[in-house]
Amino acid sequence: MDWMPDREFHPLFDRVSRRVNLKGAGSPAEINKRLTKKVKKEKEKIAMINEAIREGYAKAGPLSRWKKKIRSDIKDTRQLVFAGFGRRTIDEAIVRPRGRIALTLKYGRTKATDILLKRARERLGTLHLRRRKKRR
Amino acid sequence: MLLSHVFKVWSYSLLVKIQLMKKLDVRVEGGISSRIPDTSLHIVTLDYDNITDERLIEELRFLQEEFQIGNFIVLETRNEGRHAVCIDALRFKDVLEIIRFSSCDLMFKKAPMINEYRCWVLRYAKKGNRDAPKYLYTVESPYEGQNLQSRGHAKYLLKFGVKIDLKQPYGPEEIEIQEYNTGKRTNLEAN
Repeated sequence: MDWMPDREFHPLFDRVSRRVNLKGAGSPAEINKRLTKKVKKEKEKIAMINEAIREGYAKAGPLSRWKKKIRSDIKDTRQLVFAGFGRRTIDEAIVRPRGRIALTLKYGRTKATDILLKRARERLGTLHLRRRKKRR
Repeated sequence: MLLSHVFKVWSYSLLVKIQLMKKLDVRVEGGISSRIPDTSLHIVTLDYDNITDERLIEELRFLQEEFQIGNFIVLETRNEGRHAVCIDALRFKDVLEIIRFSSCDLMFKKAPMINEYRCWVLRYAKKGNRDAPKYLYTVESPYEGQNLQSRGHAKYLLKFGVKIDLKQPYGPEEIEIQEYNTGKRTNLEAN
């Protein structure tokens, strides 16, 4: 098998590694029990998540309608997961409910920018937010 | 089976390789990794196919003398198949040297280059129709306890009823195990 590059073996052998803690196991039966304990494979876990996402789509119907619906209400973050949003986006929306990402999800990009600008004007005053004229 | 051909296109060479491999049908539910968790140290594991015990003992004694390593625990995998385990915690390059020096299975020597977890794996579970390995004997060494000894692997050997008094215990009481696919050849041989 000299001619075969390493990475091509990986899907063939489908190796799964895990750690087993043998602390406190004093008898062969106890060690056997810990070694043979089945842990769900990473791939199975990923398949389960994908299935959950697919189910979410199926319930919601067309994707665009689903995303539009989510924009109107982002309180239920589970829906965002089903809609295929990134984990970081969801986290950011939860941590800063009045922040740029949360507003974008709820109102869309243009309206969110308007709200942010309006808020900034109230805070700083209009003059500071005017774009400087270019010097020639 | 590998088919390859080189096409010459102007000043370029286009290498086309087509490869056919049989599906690996047998799932081995457990094999122990040589690596000590959280470290880059490994224990010495050897996999022998078709070897007599006399020849094996001679070789293991020679390895113990040559590399000054501790006791070898020998396990029986089938009629003339043997696994040898020495729980001394050594650097990767030292273990590689010992394994290359030995006359163990050729594919086993290349294992860490193929395995994405970069370690040698010895099975402890059933493989097709072959039974799980069983303890046979210990090849004792005058250098026992001279190197650090893996605590986790010593505990693992309790599974075979082998109790080891560690002189220089090292590492956590944890081991890494792997599940993997293997060919159907093992089924045919056992039948």
